[in-house]
Amino acid sequence: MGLNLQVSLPASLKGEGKLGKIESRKESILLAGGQALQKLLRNWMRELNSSRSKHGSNHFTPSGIHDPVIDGNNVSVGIFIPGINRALHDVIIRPVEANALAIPMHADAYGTSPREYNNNHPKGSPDALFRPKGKDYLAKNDNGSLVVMYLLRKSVTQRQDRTLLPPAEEMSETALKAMHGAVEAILST
Amino acid sequence: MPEDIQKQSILDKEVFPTGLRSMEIREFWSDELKEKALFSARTTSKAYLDRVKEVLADYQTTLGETSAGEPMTQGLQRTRMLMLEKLDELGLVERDENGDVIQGKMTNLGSSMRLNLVIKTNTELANSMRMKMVAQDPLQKILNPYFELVRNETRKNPRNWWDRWLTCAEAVGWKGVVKGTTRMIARCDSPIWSELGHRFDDCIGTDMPPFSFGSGMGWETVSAAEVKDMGLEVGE
Repeated sequence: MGLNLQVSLPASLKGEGKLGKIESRKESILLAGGQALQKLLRNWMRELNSSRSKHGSNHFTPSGIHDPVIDGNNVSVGIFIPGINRALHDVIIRPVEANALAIPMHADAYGTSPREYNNNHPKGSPDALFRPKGKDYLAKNDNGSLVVMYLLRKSVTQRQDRTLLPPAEEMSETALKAMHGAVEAILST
Repeated sequence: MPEDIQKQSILDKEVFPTGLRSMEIREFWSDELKEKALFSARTTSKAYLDRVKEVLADYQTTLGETSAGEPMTQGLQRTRMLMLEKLDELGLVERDENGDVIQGKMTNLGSSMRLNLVIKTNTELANSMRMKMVAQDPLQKILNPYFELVRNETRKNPRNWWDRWLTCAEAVGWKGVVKGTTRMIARCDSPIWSELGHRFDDCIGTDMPPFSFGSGMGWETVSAAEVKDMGLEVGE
């Protein structure tokens, strides 16, 4: 899932204020604010990556933070990291293309969809997936023992996790400080 | 969502099939070619690389909406799966006698390890390329004239980048390198970046992160004010 964070040009810089003198550089000022926000978010994701993963294989990577986009007096930064919307609210996930969601239950299934797993272990392989009749899971046969690989569910609710993003005040303060810094830099050149 | 520079930089690449190994690519190809080409070591199928380009351009972008009406991002798993399906279609996946994909073998184009490496390396290079372009903006040259080498992703057995940093700093005579700190900061145009990407056996041969395959390293911008506030000296 993706998320778009938006920051507006502060009132103190609009109209007759400082910006009036340097209106032609408005985009540069907004860009500076967007880049500062982007940097804050990238650092946040690095921290999440190191604190939440033993092997660096989670989704929280800085490359999911996209470039600032300017629109009028606003600048926005897109976050394209699966599950990031949980920062704002509970997320109910339902299958879009399949009949059920597959929840990995085994280390070999983690980070792999049943479709990918089937590509790696096609029918006929000893490790191939199968669904026991009447059961809501996918399993594989391990020398006669049944090993549950995925649970099948109609929906899953993931609870809100506010720590996936920095505090809102920190984000807006960072962007505003950078915009003011850009104004000072422009005025001093 | 307007076109992103990162996505565009992948779309702008020229698909370049090659039978060369990574070491040979590093040795014989120019940096310019490596930046412009979309390639993978010992991958001679243009049809596969065309597909790689297509799916990489969509990596970490919005694919559509979830049933809850929120934007859905193409993640690593789906990207890897789409590439494997194309490889299968072309008969390029090495499988064992049971039909399972042979994993843990980098030369097998269809192993998860290899697919992850192709996705991560290309995405990280595109990301660094984008940062390099942004750094060339005149205002950015004043505000954020430095890059810092940082760890983007954790590794079980990380390489010692601090040692590499010192070796490369010495090699370039500390030109543009910030001294007196354990942070790895240098001017965006310092020759240390090229040195980091060429000096060691596992290097990709570019002047931008990830520098080495699977390094997990990246860039972050550092402002002139931050370096000034720390009272640090910059090598001339």
